[in-house]
Parts: sequence; structure tokens; C-alpha cells
Amino acid sequence: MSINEPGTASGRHGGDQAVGLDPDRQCITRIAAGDQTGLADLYDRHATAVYSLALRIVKRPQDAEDVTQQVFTQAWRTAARYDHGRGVVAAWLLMISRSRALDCLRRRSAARDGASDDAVMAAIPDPGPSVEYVVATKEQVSRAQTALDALPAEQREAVELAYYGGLTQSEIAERTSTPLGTVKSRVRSALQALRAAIGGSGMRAGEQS
Amino acid sequence: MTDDPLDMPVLDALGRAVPQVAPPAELRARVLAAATAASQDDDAVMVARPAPARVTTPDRATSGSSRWPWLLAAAAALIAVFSSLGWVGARREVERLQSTIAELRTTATALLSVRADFDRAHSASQRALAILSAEDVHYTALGGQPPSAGARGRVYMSPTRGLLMAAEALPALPAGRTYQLWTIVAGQPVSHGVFAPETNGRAQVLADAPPGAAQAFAVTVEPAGGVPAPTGPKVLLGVPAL
Repeated sequence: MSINEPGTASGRHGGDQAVGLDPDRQCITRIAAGDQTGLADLYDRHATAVYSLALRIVKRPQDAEDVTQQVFTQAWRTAARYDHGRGVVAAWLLMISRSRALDCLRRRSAARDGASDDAVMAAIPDPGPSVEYVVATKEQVSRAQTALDALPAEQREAVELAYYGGLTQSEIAERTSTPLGTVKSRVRSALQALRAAIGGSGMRAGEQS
Repeated sequence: MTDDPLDMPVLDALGRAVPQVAPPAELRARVLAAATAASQDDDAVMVARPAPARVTTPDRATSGSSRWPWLLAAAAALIAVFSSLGWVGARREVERLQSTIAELRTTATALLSVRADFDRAHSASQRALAILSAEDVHYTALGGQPPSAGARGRVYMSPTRGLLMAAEALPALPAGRTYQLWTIVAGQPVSHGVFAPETNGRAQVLADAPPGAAQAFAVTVEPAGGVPAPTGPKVLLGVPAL
């Protein structure tokens, strides 16, 4: 299964669409106008990436399907407000997928433990409102995979618990029976290693070929 | 950390550095149906914006149907709640609600059709009322002609608002035949169209006023589809006073 490449102009659009415009951006514009086929195109382009990340986080296919539905429902509802200056649609969708999947995890653990930790910030939170959505290139994703595999086991565990588990650094410390300070430095080192491996700054809106 | 924009490609890469698994094929239709059933812009913080043109409205009769998408959206929201809670049997509940949505869609379609019928009837009533209440309306009685002497009718004609003809005891039509309403203006027949009576022999016809002073009104039996000038037997005939 190939990774969606937001930069490739492979969208199935009508002939009236100008060649060279970001197909995702066109999808968002069409959705904002109430065009259901715009959402269908967006789904075809990104459902696999959205579903795969959700599945990695929630593990259960049924929950991953629900998350996927929530992501595209949110895209449908809020397309009119999407700020194209904010960045690449593909990165936005993936961020929503992670957020909804982590919500699902938290609801499950709250249902199990009888408590909610919604208020607790994850060790790797979603980007703040000022951050531009930048999508990793296929090459960068491949390098990130290699770098993850090459991380020391404890660093890899820390970053996976933080990103795919949505755990706070304190929770990671508790889960792994490790001092909090050690966890913090592991997460920091892992992210630095990933950043170094990835290099470059990813693809921003308007940079698609 | 997240204030550093360089983290964004790292975050995105982590999101994509997972085994890529295609979602089940049937998820596509489910997601698209549920997502598009949700209303757009329903967040409280929305900036006012003209409502997007709905691509699924076939005619004007649906213009008053905004409640139906809302109901569908509510059903979809219920689905989302049930499934996200991960309840035992939620799957079955989702399927049940999806079939409820399908039923609601069918009901909505049927109601829209009833609504269209109602709109047509209402529009005809308004037009008839406008004719009957016009200052320039004239009344002409129509008498049955042999062998249909029992038939009778009335014409209310307003040169400005149009013409209303009502009739009772019209004989049932033979196959391939229709009734046609005429006005004679300056010695020439002007057709107001064809009609068929209800099974109880009643009929009403709304038409534009003829171009000129009416010398007579007549209903004849003609070949189906009507004819440019009357050829068949007269069933009703009336001459305006004055």
C-alpha cells in the first residue's frame, strides 16, 4: 500500500479544474460549496493514510473506521473555514486523525478506569494554532521509518508512547518505571534524531509540483 | 517544542511512518453518507456565510425541507456517539440507525412529493380565488346539450385575472376522447385546453382569459390531445349576458 503523496496531481477532477493547482485545495473549495464529490475525492486521496494512523493508535479496526468517519465528517463540516494559508490539507487531515484516535483511546481508558485524563497534555501535543501544517515528503517518511528503527529501544518506546499512545511524559515514566527526567530526555533525543534524519522542512502549501 | 515549525514535518512523518492499511471498501460509502448528512458550518463560532447551494435539490418543492437534512444529521450524530462509546452491540446499532436513515430518506422523498402536490393545489386555489374576487369577473351559466342535458357548469371570467370553469354531471369519456373548453371570440373558437372529469363527473378548469370579448363558452368532446378548432359534439354551452 503506497503512501499518499499530496504533491502528485493524481486527483480525479473534471476538466474544468486548472492543471497545477493543489488537488486537495480544490477538494476543500468544492466541499465548502456543498459538493459531495469533493469529499469523495478527498477520501480517495487520503483515506488510507488517515485510517492507517488511526489503526496504529486505536488498534481495533472498528474504532479506526469510526475515527476515519469523524475525520471526514469534520472536513465536510469545517471546509468552509479551512485557512489555506495555514498549510497543507494532507497534514491537517492526519493531525485530526491522530487527535480523534487519541480521544477514542482516552474514552476507552476512561470507561475502563472510571476517570478521564482529557485535561492532561500529551507529551507530543497537536501543533498549536500558530503552527503551519507541513506535510512530510515520501522521502522524509521513509527516512523517519529508518530513523525510528535505528533509535535505542528505550527512546523508540518513549516516542511511540508519546505519539501513538498520546501519553504524557509522567504517564510514560509511570508506565516504564523510569524517572520523569529520563523520560523527558529520551523523548527529546528521539525527536532530535528524527528531525535530523528527516532534514529539510517538508512540503508547504504551494510547494507541490 | 511545538512552537518550532520544524517539528511539523516530524509529526507528519510519524503519522505516516505506520504500516499503510487500506480501509475496508464499504467504509467509503458509510463515511461519505454520514459526513455529508452532517450540516456544514454548524459550529457556534461560525462566521455568517451564505448557505451553500445544495446539490441534491431537484426542484423548488424542496426549498422548505431544511428540517430533513437536520434529522439525518441528528441520526448520523447518534451513530457517531454510539460507535465512539464502543458499546457492545454498537455495530448492530449503527446498522439499525443506518437503515433508519434510509427509511427517513424514503419518507422525506414521499413527503416532498406530497408537498409538491400541495403546492400545486394551493397555487391553483390562489389563482381561482383571484379570479372569483376580481372586480371585473363575469358569471355565465353553462347548460347541458342533448344528449347530455343533465350536465351543467359555470364560467367565471375576469379579463384581467383569467377564467375558471366548473362543471358537474359530465358523462364519462369514451376511450381516446377528451373534453375541450372553448371561448368564441369574434366568431372564432379559442381553445382553453383539454381536461377529463373526476369519476364523480365534476371538473374544474383554470385558464388564461381569451383575447377579446367572449361571445360564448363551450365544452366539446374531442380526440385525445385536443384539436385546433372544435369538431365533436357540444356537451356544455353558455352565452354571457350583455
